[in-house]
Formats: sequence, C-alpha cells, structure tokens
Amino acid sequence: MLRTSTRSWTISRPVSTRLGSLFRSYHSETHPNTIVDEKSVESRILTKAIEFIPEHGFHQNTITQAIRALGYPDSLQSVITNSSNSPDFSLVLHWLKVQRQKLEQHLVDPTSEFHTIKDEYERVAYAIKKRLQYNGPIINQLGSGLSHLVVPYNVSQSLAELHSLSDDIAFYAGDMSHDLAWYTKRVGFSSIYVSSELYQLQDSSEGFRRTNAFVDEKVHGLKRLGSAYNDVEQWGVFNAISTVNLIKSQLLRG
Amino acid sequence: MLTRIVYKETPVCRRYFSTISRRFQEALSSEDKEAAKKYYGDDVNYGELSKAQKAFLDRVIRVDQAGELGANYIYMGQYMVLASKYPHLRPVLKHMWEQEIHHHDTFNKLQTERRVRPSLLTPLWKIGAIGMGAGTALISKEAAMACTVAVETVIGGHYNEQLRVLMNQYNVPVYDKSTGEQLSGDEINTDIEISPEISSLKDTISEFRDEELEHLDTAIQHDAKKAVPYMLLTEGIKMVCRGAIWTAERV
Amino acid sequence: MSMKYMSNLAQVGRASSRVSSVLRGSSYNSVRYYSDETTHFGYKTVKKDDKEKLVGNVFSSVASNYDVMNDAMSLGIHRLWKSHFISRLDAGMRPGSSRPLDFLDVAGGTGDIAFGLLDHAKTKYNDTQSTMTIADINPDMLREGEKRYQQTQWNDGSDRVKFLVQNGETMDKIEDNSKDVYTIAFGIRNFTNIQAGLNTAYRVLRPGGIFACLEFSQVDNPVLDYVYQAYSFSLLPLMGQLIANDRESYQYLVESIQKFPKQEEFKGMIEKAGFYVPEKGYENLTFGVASIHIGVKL
Repeated sequence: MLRTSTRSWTISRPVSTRLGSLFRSYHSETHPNTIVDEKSVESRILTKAIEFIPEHGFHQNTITQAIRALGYPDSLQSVITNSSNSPDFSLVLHWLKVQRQKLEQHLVDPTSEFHTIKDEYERVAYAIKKRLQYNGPIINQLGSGLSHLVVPYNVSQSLAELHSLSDDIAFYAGDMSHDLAWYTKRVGFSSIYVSSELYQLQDSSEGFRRTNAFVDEKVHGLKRLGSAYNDVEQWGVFNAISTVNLIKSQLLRG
Repeated sequence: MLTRIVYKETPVCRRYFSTISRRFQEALSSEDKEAAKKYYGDDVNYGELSKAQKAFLDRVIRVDQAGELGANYIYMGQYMVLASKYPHLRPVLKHMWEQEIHHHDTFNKLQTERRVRPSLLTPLWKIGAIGMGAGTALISKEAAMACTVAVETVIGGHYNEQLRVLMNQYNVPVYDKSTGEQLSGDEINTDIEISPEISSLKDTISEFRDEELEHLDTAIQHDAKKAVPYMLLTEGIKMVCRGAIWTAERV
Repeated sequence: MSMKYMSNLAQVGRASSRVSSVLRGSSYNSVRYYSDETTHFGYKTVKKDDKEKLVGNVFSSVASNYDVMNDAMSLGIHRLWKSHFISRLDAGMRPGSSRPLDFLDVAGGTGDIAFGLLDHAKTKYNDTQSTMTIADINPDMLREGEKRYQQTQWNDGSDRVKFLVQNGETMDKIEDNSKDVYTIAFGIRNFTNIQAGLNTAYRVLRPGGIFACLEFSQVDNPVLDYVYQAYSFSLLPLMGQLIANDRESYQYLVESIQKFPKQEEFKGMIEKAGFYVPEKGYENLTFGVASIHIGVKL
C-alpha cells in the first residue's frame, strides 16, 4: 500500500460496488474487489462485445458477434438476455464500468501525469477529460447508447454508475470534505460530466479540443462557487461571533 | 486497556468454512500450538468482506464520525458559555474538548480513506450539538455536566455494541500470499486472524470508548448529579442522542 | 443497530434453515423431519416410493383439463409468465450460426412451453432447425401433448419434435452433454428429489448450456403473502372441486407450492448441482408468486 508524501489519501487497489447499489459503501484495502469481475462469463462476453461496438452499436447483435468470436455456443446468449436489464442496456452499463475501471487504473498508475497536477480542481478537470477521451472510438454509437440510460426503468442503475464515477474522480483528485460539501461536490462533478459528454456528442473538433475547453470552464465555475460559499460561511460565522460579543458587552454595561 | 477476550462463535458469514470450533479447542492449548504456527502478517492475503460486513463498516464510520462531530460541537458550545464564567473549569473542559477533536479528526480521516459517505444531516448535527452544549451550559454548569454524562453514556454503550460485532463477525478466509491456498485456523497466528484494517478500527474504537468513559467519570466528579432536573435532562438528552445515532446511520 | 446486523449476517450464513414458518410449512431441506423412507406429499407424509405414484395420479387426473386448471389457479397470469419466460430466455439459433440448438423441455407434457420456444425461435431468428425433446414422467400428459402437436405447424414431418416418457431425476434415454437448453416450467416442485433432478439437468447439458426453471416461489412482501395464501388455500381447492370435480389434486398442488424451497435456497441447490448462476440468479414475477431461475453449465 503506497502512501504519497504530499497527500494523505492512499492508492488503493481497484475497488467497487455491486450492480445496483445506489451509494458505494466502504472501500477496503486489505479486502479488495474489482469493478468488473473479469472471470464471470457475462463480463467476458460483454468485454469482447465492446470491440464490436464501433461497427454494430449497442445492440444485441453485437453480443451475438462477441459470442461467435469467443467460440462459445449460441445458448450462452440467454445468460445476457435473462437478466432484468435488456441486452442493450447491459452492454451500455458494462461499457461504462469498463471505462471507469480504465480511468481508475490510469489515475492510480504512478507514472501517469495525473500526479504532477497539484490543485484538486485541476485534477478533476484532467480526470474528466481523460474519461471523455475514452469515448473517442465509439463516439458515433454513443448517442444511441446514452439514450438507454435515461429510460425510467434504467435510470436508477445509470445514476448509480454516474455517482460511482464522480465519487472515483473526487476521491482520486483528493477531495477531503467531511460534510455537505461531499455531496455538493459529487453532484457538481456528475453534472459537469454529463453536460460535457452531451457536448462531446456534437463536437467535431480535433481531439475534442472544444470539449476540453468546455470542461475546464465548468470546473472553474464550480471552483469559484465553492470558494464563494466558503467566503459567505466565514462572513456569517464572523458576524455571529461579533454579535454575541456585542450582546455580552451590552449586558455587562447593564 | 482492556484485555481482548476473543469469543469464538460459529461463523455466520456463508463465505467461509468453519474452522472456528477447532480453533477454540486449540486456543486452549495455545502454547503448544505457537510453535506450529507458520504465518505472520506479511505472508497472507485476506478474502473479501461480504456485502453485509461492508455495509456495517460503512455505517459504523458514518455514525461514529457524526457522533464525534456532535461531541466536538457540544464541548465547543459548553466551553463558549462556561469558560469565561468558571475559570476553574476551563482546563477540564478544554482537555475533554481536545480529546473529542482528536476523535473527530480520526474519523474524518477514516471517512476519507475508506471512501465512506458522511451523514447528509451534518449541518443539522452541528447546529443541534452547539445548541445542546450552549443550552445546557446556560442552564447551569451542573446541567452541562449532566449533558456530558448523558451523551457519554449513550456513546459508551454504542461503541461497545460496535466492538461486539467487530470482534465476532469479521472473520474472513485467509490465504497464503504466494500460493493462494486457503489457510486453516491453526496455521495462522492469532494476531493476524482478523485483518489489520479491522483490528486497527477495533483498537481505535476501544481507545475512544475508554476515553469517553473517562469523560463520564470526570463529569460525575464535577457535580453532574447536582443538576436540578437531572433525570429529565439526562433521559431527554439520551433519547435525542439515540435518535440522532439511528438517523445518522441511515441518512 | 448491531442486533439487526447480527441477524442480517446470520441470515446470510444460515445455509440450511431450520426455522419453519407456521403458515408455509417446513422448507424442503428439513428432511430431518422425515425418516429416510418418507417424504412430503403436500402436507402429508408419505413413503418416498409412493410419492411418484401419487403425483402421477394427480397429473393423470388433471391432464385433460390442465389448461383450465392453470387458468383458474393463476387467473390467466400463467400465460404471461410463460411468454415472459420464453422471451427472456431468447433462445434460438442465430442467423449465421453453424449448429442448430437442441432443446429439452422437461415435465412439459402438454407442450405449451415447448411450442412457445419453437415459435419464438422461428419468428425472431428464423430458426427452423433446432430440435425439441419433450420429456414427461406422466404418459397421460404426454399423450395430451402429442395430440396438440398434431395440430401445430411443427408437425411438418421434419421430425424435429420428440416425445419421451422420462423420469426427470434420471433421464436414462438422454445422453450426457447432448442438450443446449433445458427448460422446466412448473414441474420441478413435483420431483421427489429435486437435487437429483438438478444434477441430471447438469449431466445432460452441453458446456455452455442453459438451465432455466419457471416455478412458483415465495412472495417477498408479507402483506401480499398473506393475501396470496388466503387465496390459494381456500379458493383454489374449491375451484378444483367445481371445475374438475377433483378437490384432492388441487389441494396437493397448492400444498406443493408451499413446500417448494424459497428463491435463495433453490439458487443454492442449482449451484450445488454444478451450475454457474449469474448475478441475481432469479427473477421474481408478480411479486414473487412465480420466479425464473437460471443456471449455466460452464
């Protein structure tokens, strides 16, 4: 278990949540588990299917191609179709998990340039931009894929996944908040991510240059909001203390 | 420091095989077995915690963080009111307050490291705690001490319950780090049966519980029982604390 | 808090539950209440050798009215369950595949699942080559199935559909590793030895094969559970008496539902047979009145 010298957060092995839990719970260091269970049949099939997404999109046909490519019998299709999610949505969800795991591995890797950035919000911007980069290969299919996420019966699972992503980003960026700020930051990061992804869908610039600028702008906005709140809070506390002192002195006067 | 009596009960977690009954018998003749034990700290890997175990730990850290935050702000409220009026109480209150600050910081650190969600009602706990501390201090200094008694009693019992669960229900399979095979009870030194993460949490909670009970004794020494509506105050505050604990676990 | 969690953890760990709820009778695994020669037949205790015969009598007597019985018992919802089961399974030889699938429908005497599966494969994937074997221990039910087969489109002389009288626990005529999809709908609760039936299912499936089971199960919500049990224990035998003049059989059927292991327990039995059960190995239908269990032979 490595500890960085400047920050007190620790680099933990990839850890995660089960499908469908709304908030990630306790992350253990000595009892780790991974986001994507590489060994199970479904995840092997879906991971292979990701290779076929650029060509076939988020459809059941992609899964069929993957099963053929792996040499598995067709009956295994039923493993994917039998879950309470439609096969398309299962594929989208799996794609999101795989990308999140990829991002986590990148952020944890000691050689990545992530560790040269010191400011927390800069790190958040970097992480979001990196994650958006992973959308590159499938950007043409991404719109139809994302449409599965907002369907009412899928919404709770996609929100859970979104929360996990912003929790990961906040944690690795070094968020140390202990109160309401924990919630507001994550909600902020989630909304920045969603709006940036939607922006990316229609961004045709080279290497998503405009999307990156958009992300930077949004993150700075959030940072200013955060410091504005802190300033207001400090002003409020100062005024409260002065008022109490004023009252005390008036009482003393009699 | 209390000696740790480890009760070996039948494991309730489905994930591992029961070697506990055998371990119990072996614990009785432990001196002979010490020589046979091969594995120590760095040689082993621990299996996964179950969902229920993780959920419990999640709640433990959240509620303890909220609890220490409450205690911190109660002492802050009390200090603010009493420190100027009763200079002789200042060192006592300051000492207790500083210990609570240390507790609060420890749990804050744990909350960040373990990526646990803090309680959503944290601002409410802050305001309530300051109100309770300052309010009871405004009534009288005995009332402030009675408030301390009530809070520390509830917290002491609460920590004891948590320790009980942590001691009994956190055994996971232990694996040899190099070969990956599962180890049986007699091959493992008693110190490392439970992973260092859980045992350090246990030690922390034990230590804090002892300090809270010390505060309880201190408050009683400082005439807590002389507070005028003693029963009403203490029972009322205990009820409020229990309600807050229940809420903080969930929200 | 810790008490609740201790009991939660305890629940997770109790692999063979000794606790029986008064309403629903003992769980299947508490065979300790019976000697080695006896088992349960609904709420009665009978010799193991006799159970098969008694179950046989039940089904022989209901064979001709089987559909009416099902419609009455489930208020027609069983059709929805079965079509959901078939569409979830989504089994069929995909276009471009090299090998047709071999289906096995067990205890499916009258053939509704079997024909539904073939139908689905044909309409969705244009699969006209997969074979279907319908096995049932009761020749009367099978005869009923054959009668219906004559009237379906599958009776096209291609010999795709076979009918076999087989005991689901042994299936001696079916070879190892010879089937791709094993389905059993509302049949497994009648097995004398459910685990043996599951083991046999594992034996006959090829690696990569799917075991899918649709069966009555436990309702999770206690309020609904009470309503459901009041309905099943009072109304259904009465309906049986009125519709088919056979109260006893319906009484047995209702009791056998109560005796069947609960979802988690049955999932454990499926895993014990050697199957890999994907995450959340079962799907509750209508609040748990029925549930679909799935297992994969790897």
